[in-house]
Amino acid sequence: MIEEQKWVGGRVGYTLIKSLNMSEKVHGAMISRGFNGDIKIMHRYSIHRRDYVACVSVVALSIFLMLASQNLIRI
Amino acid sequence: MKPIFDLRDVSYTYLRKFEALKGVTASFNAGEQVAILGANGSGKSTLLAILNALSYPTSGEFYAFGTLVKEEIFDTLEDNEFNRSFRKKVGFLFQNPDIQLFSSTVFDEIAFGPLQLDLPPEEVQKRTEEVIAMLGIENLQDRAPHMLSGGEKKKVCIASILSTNPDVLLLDEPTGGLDPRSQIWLIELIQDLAKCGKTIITATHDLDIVEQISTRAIVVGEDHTIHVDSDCASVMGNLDLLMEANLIHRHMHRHGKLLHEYLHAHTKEHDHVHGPSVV
Repeated sequence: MIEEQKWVGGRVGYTLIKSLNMSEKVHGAMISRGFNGDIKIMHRYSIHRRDYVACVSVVALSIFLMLASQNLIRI
Repeated sequence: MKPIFDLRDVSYTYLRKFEALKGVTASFNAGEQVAILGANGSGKSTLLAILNALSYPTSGEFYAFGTLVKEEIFDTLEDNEFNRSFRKKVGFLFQNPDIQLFSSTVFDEIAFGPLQLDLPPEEVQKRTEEVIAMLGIENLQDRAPHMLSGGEKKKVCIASILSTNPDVLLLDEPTGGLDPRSQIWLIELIQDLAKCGKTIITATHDLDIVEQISTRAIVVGEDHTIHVDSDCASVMGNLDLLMEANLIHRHMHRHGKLLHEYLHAHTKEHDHVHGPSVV
């Protein structure tokens, strides 16, 4: 039993080391292309009408579900 | 002319135990095409990492564009002039495309470099589109880099470097894992870039491409020191040297006809490596 756990522990550890290694290299690749910690993106994101509509509908749906679950409204 | 890169007695040791480079002294001039040859594990990739200021010499000095490269200048989040100009001037093609590609679409990937260098968005857009058109990868631009094939990934990697328009290109095993057609395409691209006056430093153990893409060759031996630093033809003609550096093997050698039938260097295309010692 303990052997099995040891084996699994070893694999988990090894996977972690591999991912750490990989992430370090990817970071190196980002630095190599001028990354210095600031995130710069091309698209300027702004709130559109459809975002307000989505927001309101999500809130409305949750209220409706809560009321329905408390039997305050009957369907 | 002042060299752009100047290595003075540079050594590099991993974890204080594993030596990767020993006493390397070399300099590179602007506009040169240099091949760094060596077997696996000889330290060529480490050498390129030092030239790209991703690793720092354990001992010895490395001057880039006349300035001493120190960890304090680069390993900081603070903006500084030299760091920025160095990153703008030097592009590094990694051996493994999966390391180099981290954005969600090919377009973002290629736009990453110019964006980091604070170019205005319109300029970034323009440059990205130009590079995409230049490499003919319009059909890939909205796809996720990790879903592409090996050859396509390599193209995207190259595009992501070219978009910042660097003067110096450091290529780590550029033809590794590519099919013959992509290899020829890449060699021709490198030749074109060389014609534009770019400095190109390539680390490779693929002897077939060396003469096509470089005029000078540096051989790094398995003892992690530089064995020879000379012009390409004389290095490629020295079979004993190549054998010693583990770059050719008695049972695997260049077969003149087969090789030269397909590849076309625009200089020295009739040179053959053919000696009595390789049968």
